[in-house]
Amino acid sequence: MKTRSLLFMAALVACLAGGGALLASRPTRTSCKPNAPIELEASLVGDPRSPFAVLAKANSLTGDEVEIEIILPDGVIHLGGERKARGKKVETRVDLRAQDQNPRQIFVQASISDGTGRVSKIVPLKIFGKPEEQKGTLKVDNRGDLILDGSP
Amino acid sequence: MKTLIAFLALSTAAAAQVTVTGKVLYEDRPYTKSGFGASVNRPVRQAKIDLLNSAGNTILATGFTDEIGTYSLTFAGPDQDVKIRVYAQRGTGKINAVVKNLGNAIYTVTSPTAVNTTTSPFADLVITQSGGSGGPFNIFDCAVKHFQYLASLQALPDTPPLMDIRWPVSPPDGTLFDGSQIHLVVDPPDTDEYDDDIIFHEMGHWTAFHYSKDDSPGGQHVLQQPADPRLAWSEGWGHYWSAVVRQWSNVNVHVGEYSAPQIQVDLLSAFTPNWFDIELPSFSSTSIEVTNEVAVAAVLWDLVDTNNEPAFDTLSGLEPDIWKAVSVRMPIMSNITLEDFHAALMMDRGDLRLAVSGDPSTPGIFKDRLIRYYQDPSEANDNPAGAPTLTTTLTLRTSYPAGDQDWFTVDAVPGTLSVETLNLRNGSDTVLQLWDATGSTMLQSNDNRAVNDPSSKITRSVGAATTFKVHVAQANPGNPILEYGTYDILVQTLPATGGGKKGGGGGCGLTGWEALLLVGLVRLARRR
Repeated sequence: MKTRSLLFMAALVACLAGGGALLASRPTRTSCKPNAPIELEASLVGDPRSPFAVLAKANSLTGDEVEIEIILPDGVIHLGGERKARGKKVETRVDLRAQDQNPRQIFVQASISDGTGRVSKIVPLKIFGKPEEQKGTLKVDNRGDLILDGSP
Repeated sequence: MKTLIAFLALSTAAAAQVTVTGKVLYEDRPYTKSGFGASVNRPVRQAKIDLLNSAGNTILATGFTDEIGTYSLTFAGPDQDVKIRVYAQRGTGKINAVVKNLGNAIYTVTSPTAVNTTTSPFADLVITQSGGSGGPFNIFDCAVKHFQYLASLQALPDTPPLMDIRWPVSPPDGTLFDGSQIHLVVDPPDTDEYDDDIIFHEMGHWTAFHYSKDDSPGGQHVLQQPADPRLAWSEGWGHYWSAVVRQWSNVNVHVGEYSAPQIQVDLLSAFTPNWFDIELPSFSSTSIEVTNEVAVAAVLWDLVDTNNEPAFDTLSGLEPDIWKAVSVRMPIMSNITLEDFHAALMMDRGDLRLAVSGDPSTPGIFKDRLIRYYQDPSEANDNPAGAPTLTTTLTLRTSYPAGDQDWFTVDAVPGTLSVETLNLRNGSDTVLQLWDATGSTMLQSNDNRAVNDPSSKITRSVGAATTFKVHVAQANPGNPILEYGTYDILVQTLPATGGGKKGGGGGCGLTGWEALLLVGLVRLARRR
């Protein structure tokens, strides 16, 4: 009985400790930026090394019409499909071909606008992407401060 | 002779002093709600700058750029090859800001090649966007504008609280002020380093933290939807701060730099500007009430802007009064919302009550956004005695000021009496009570007519013509978040439904006699 009591106490302490850790965790930090009331999904279909497609779906959460647009960079050729669509729930697909394998980004944006304001969501789709390189050199300056020293 | 020697020695020493001058600029990217315009070079103002020897390992002199980006640095000489290093940082002169990356490194730019001091004044050092440092120096210039505007509102010490700005911050952390640092996100294609409106917004949160109070619970928010009133205040304040700093900068820094300070632009990409206008305001039909951040910003902006709209907006230039309310009155309040701001403003500017608030027959700045912080036409009805008679519907009753008690008289005819509050606004949460004709005995009460519906409803079977008193107040006196509110009240006699005496929808259900009878029946049943 004594052992069971001790085990119970140990379990209780463990639970409380765990709970304390949960309570002490910082609240989820969220962006200050207002959230556009739009559900937006966009994806690449196929391999960009051959003709491929972008599929985009948007859904307005307010009942206002949403405009979806697929924005192509130079070097990506539009073969077919509507690049713009408008409605409360819209879907579009465009067929594309990349001229070469240089890194590029295709953007899919969806916006709600009543003429007095505009809120949007945007999804970037990288093709042949590579990570951005940091500009500048990390150094310690003459005062001992860490600096990211750049060129003009 | 000794005097002559001393003079010559001093002259030699003076002659050995070397002063170099020059100018530092950065590439800015102006924008409107249509997107970015052509880049322009602007001065790097008020930034720390070092003069280094050619190896870059010795500081020969240090100083700050001035308002037009020029510097003048003097050291003991002799003439030699030197470099300059400029920091996105300053910690004195009523400016205390630094722009760092998340790795805690301060952004600096060093001139790429050493030049001899004899060539002073040096060629302009232009910090470009493509070099990677134009953005951080734009952020720093926003901080300088912010501190200069703040200093126009109140006396600042030589070293105010630190504004520690981090860029770029990657998702999932967003653009925010976390109580210590301002984070500016880079979530391609959205990069915030040239989004001055957004940068100033975050500086507004910094200001509320250090000079006022901010109780926002945070969380996702949508411009066109109501939010927690504390969040609405916090975000609305940020929008306001962004607008007034830019308005001030237009006059005091770069004339006309921000063509429309009332418009808040966030360039999600070079071709995707999100924007809204706090003057119109945008999304007007939803930019209403204490729970909407655009409405909060619109109210604050109308108190200061000179573009007054006929009828409801007759005020301008109240920035000092807003600042006093926010920085002096509000820090001792709790759960800060627009209600607290209104109360704080009225402490010192009660003379402006009508123009600020409006009243049932007069337009006002708050009233234009359907925020009704004034007494309704049924007042004074704080007591049962003399309570006005309620015959059908009364709209736009207000619980104002805090703790307001509203009494009405109802002359009921036989049938089912129904009394209800509806169309609650501005965070209203009513409690409805039915009292006897003298207002001394409460007969029924209802707080919420249903789960997630804070309006109230009472129904009661009336056998013969009877006079009742109806009492309406906000739930939870001393509500920690909202104390005011707006409601309509409707009284009607419904056709008799037969059967039960009470209709549904609320009330405790039993009168005192009925309760006694029920208890008696239960006891009787137990004995058996």
